[in-house]
Amino acid sequence: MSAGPVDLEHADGAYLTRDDAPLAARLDARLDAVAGLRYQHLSPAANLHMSVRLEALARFRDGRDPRPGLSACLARAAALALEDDPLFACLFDGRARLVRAERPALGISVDTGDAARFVVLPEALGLGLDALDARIREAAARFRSEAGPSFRASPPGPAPRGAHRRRLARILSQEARERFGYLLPGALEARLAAYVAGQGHFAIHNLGPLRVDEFKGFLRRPAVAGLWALTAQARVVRGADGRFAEERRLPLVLVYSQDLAPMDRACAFLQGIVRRLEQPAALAGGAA
Amino acid sequence: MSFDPAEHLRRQRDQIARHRFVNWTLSVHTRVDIDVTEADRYLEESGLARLEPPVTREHLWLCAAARVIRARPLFNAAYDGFRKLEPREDIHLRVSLAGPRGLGQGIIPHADRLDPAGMARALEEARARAVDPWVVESPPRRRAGRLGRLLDELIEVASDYAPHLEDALGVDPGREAGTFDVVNAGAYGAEDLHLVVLRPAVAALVVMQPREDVVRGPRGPEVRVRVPMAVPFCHKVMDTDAAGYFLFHLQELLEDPAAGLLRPVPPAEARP
Repeated sequence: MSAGPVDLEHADGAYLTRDDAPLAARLDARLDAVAGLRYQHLSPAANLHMSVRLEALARFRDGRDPRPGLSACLARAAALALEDDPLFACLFDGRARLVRAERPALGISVDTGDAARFVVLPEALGLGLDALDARIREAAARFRSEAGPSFRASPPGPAPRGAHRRRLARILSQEARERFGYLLPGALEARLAAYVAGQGHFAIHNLGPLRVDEFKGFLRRPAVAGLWALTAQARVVRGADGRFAEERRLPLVLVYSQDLAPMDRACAFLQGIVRRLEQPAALAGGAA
Repeated sequence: MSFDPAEHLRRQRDQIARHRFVNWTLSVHTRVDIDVTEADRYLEESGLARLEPPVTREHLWLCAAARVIRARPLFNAAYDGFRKLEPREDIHLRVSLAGPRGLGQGIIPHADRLDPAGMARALEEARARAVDPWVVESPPRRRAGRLGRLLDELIEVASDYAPHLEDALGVDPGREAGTFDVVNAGAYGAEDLHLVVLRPAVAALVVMQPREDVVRGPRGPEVRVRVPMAVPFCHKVMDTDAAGYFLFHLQELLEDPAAGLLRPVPPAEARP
């Protein structure tokens, strides 16, 4: 919080200081997220954990030129699993509309060095591993070359008159659209389309580069599920020959809507991803 | 896979109604990886594993859970989410069952009165009567159409801000059969599963896939079998230590099944 001059004349219940203004602007840019994080717009999210033995996947990646990134392998495995069970790429309004995607788009979070941004691949289900990898690398390079948001971008001095009220009005109008949008024809479709444009039908987050060991996620409507990969873990196990050896495993977390997906179905879906990553020959195929 | 969203939505209708946000509890996840190596050895040495139906690890932990609930009745209570906490004398476990048609839900009545062999028989009977996972025995009412939805949502908002008005507003949260849920997620390969607990339940037991841990033993490395078990619980009703003691007690019973699980607990009327 700034110790600089504060224009209390413009105060309306609370005041925005010089440093609050860019914070408010940043929040305004995320109004969708802020409104979407009310309980009413969250799914009852179950967090399901499984892990992948990495030896076969490491050999598979090392044997390809160019060597595919882990995010591309995750995306390909998830795309194939979504073909098996399209429920997890549906969008759900929380009550009466469950929309199946004709061509599910995958949203893949890309590490840009300082923040993650989503690349949305509308045709991901038809793409092969190399094509997915190329698109993800291309997006990462593009995102990194673009200027990141500046936190202290506001001009010096007090906040403009009425800024707080205008911001409150925008938040309330967003909240009303979220809560009662279904009463207006086309409003739900517009909301779903905006969501798909931002995150795709099914989002994949690779937290491995950030060395995240443990994670518990929430899920915003209209998503039915999302996948998180954590950092690889090493542990000692007894092999089939009775000897002790180190095994590397990749923890995966499927966050899914507990009201829509029975537990066995969520487990089968995540096992489908795990199986393909453990037997990576299954990742071949798809368009170049 | 053929998938019809409309049909899926119709099937899950009662589950969706049960999972309205006003039914969520502040579900905290507490997990202990319980060593079952001694329990496995006991099953083999006692001959229980050779009975018909054979007694397995699952029957032991169900027996243990029922006994812990008997000792800690708060876990068996019904909570209205606000200010009414109703103790329940009978312990009826609602268990997840893996069957040929997929996941099912069954009830084991008076589970605390069963020894492991009785639990094995009761589980088979529950399997024969199991219902589909989307079945809610007492589903909440939902109104049809856009106006019905609007009315439901206005009532939901009102009861969210003023829960003491729920009875006056005619809110029915719905409920499943049974008094305590035991979810065997390990049967489907889950290594951990964080669930949202719905009122009136105050907690559940989630059992994960067993894993082998290599530890330092007196004669070198040895393998111990551990089953991660979690108790997601309503934070309004209890604190983490309650769930911790639940799991600690469960672990004690599974470490020495002969001492704590063989004698059935008599019904309340027969207890001194």
